[in-house]
Amino acid sequence: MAEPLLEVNDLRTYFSTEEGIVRAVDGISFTLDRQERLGIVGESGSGKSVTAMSIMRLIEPPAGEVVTGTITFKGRNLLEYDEADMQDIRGGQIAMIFQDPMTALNPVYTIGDQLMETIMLHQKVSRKEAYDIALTAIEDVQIPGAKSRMETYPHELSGGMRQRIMIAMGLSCNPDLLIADEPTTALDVTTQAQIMDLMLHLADERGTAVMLITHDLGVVAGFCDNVQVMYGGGIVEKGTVGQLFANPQHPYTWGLLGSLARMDEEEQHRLRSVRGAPPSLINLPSGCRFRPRCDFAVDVCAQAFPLLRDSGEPGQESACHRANELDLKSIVQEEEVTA
Amino acid sequence: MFAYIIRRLVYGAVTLIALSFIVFMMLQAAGSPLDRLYLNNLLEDGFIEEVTRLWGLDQPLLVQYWKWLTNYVQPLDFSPQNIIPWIVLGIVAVAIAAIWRFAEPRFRPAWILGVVFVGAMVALRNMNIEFDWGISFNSGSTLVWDEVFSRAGATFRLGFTALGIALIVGIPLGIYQALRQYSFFDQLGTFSAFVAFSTPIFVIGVALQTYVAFRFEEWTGVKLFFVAGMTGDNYAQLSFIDQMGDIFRHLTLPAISIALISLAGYSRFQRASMLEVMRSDYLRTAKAKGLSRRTIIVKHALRNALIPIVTLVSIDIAFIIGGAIITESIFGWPGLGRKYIEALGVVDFPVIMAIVLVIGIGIVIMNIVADILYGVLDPRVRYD
Repeated sequence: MAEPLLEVNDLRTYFSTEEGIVRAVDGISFTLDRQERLGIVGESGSGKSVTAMSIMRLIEPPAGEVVTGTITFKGRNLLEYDEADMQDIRGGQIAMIFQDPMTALNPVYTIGDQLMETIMLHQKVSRKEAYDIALTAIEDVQIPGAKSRMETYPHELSGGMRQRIMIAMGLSCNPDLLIADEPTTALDVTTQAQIMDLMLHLADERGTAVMLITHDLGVVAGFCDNVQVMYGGGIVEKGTVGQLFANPQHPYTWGLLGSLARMDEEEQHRLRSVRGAPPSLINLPSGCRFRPRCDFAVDVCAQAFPLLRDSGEPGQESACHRANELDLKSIVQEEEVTA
Repeated sequence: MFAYIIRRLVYGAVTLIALSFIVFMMLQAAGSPLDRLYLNNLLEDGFIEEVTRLWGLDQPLLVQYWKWLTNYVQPLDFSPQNIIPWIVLGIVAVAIAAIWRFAEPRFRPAWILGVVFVGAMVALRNMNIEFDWGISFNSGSTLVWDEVFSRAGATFRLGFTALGIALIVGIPLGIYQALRQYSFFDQLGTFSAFVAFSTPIFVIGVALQTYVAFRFEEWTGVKLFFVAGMTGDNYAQLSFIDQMGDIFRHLTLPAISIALISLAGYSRFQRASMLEVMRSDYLRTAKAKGLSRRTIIVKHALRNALIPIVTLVSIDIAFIIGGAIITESIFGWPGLGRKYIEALGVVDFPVIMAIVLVIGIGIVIMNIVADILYGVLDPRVRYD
């Protein structure tokens, strides 16, 4: 089997605060193949964004720090790179698109300036060539009047337009990996699908793998190959989109899916909600982190931390002690919910 | 943009007229400047009445004000001394044509105003200018124009040196503090800023005189700075280099004493603004693009962090000129401020009015300049 593009192994990123150490990402491992589309889902504070920031080495000490783990990108550990090498990786080989396009662009420089800056930096081309590449990049993200757009400032564009510019900027250097951190969360629902379609289409054209971070399961279902669910700084379940949606193995995934209004189900059912609130990342519950909110918790859940293990279909993994004994797919909500 | 500037100039003129009217009326509360002459037994009978009539102080207030205002804006003499103003006019015309042709539209107004400003300064220095600002009541014979005009230079020299020090030291200090947040240097800067900010300007002035000039001389035997005057007595005989040295030794202490408070304010403000920018999303984007820390700070952070401070500086200019009033008295600086205090003491209407208006005009112009600068730095600002 070919070497994966990205292999994250036992990554732990902690932030020190006055109240204590926040274990934002606490021992996650996963791989990402070339041209794969991986979705990472979870609620706010589950560690999705910090995972992405850790891969890009955007976590700034002393506030936060990657304490252990390896991030192997194309066979080399990114955590051992010095700052100059890392600058070549950022924007050149791994690009990132952020959540809020309204604030992600520098307000005092034109779109053209900001696009050309990246291109000249990573492709070592002249200003003139960079201009042409930037022009093509704007055309690629289907913004009309590319030439005049080069001269406009970010505040003159709508949110959707700005996110297109961010996509153009991210993909302009043909990176191997594009990390999209909730790229459509701040956008109008009608533009969300357009932006996602556009981004993934362009990524496919360039052979760029996409790591899509979102809290929207619908987006994952529509656009990803594989998905992993994060909870409390760890991965609780991973598998293909088909496996996970059809046959969730972890009660949290099951809860999330139950809370989703789905158009593809024949019989109607009442939407479930996952009770309680996400755990404090400073004082994590003992054993399984999802235990206090779990409808199926038993004694063992409080004693041992569940590791990811094969469960369900081949390739599917879940971090639940009871994954194999529970048949979540067929459990009817009314019977199980207590109080 | 040009329409905006013209509108601002009109507003500025209205502001100045209102200012002059209010100050004029308030001065009436001090009574007639001739009142204290009643105590003088040596004056002939009827002298005071005669002078009152001569100066027009017996007329209704509004008439007096109207006469003052119309005289104030009327030039007695406005002619070139030599050919230089005409040359400047030509150069400015060519420069504006060139700017219109080559400069980016967004920067046109700034360029043009810069050229006009510098041109006007050079041209005015080479012109005979005189306005009818009346006769000083105190001297009874000297023209207010001469008294004010001869001193404005001294005040601007002091004020702009102080502003320069405050900007050149305060802004980099704030930026450096922000980049090394919570370091020893940052804490020291914060503490010093609070001390400087809370010390009254006259305390700073006297402390500088005592310690930096007198005590220093006592301890080392070297006379480094002077504590009074703008130049030494033998200034005219010195060589150019020595003249510069003389100016420096006179200017340093009063300029620092005015600059300190502003400097403290700028460094605090700049630190906060820089910290905010450093946390912004677009700086994270810049970093994610693979830019070096240097480029991120110099290109992406600095320009954004400087925008808010423009507002502060434009307001502060009034304070710096106001602060000069006290400092000039402490350091025997022959500027407008000291003249102003003298004039207030003897209720010298024409001099007080002239100085208030000169400072007012300066502030109005600097505010417009600040607005233009704002538009240059921040493309989101549009004036139309």
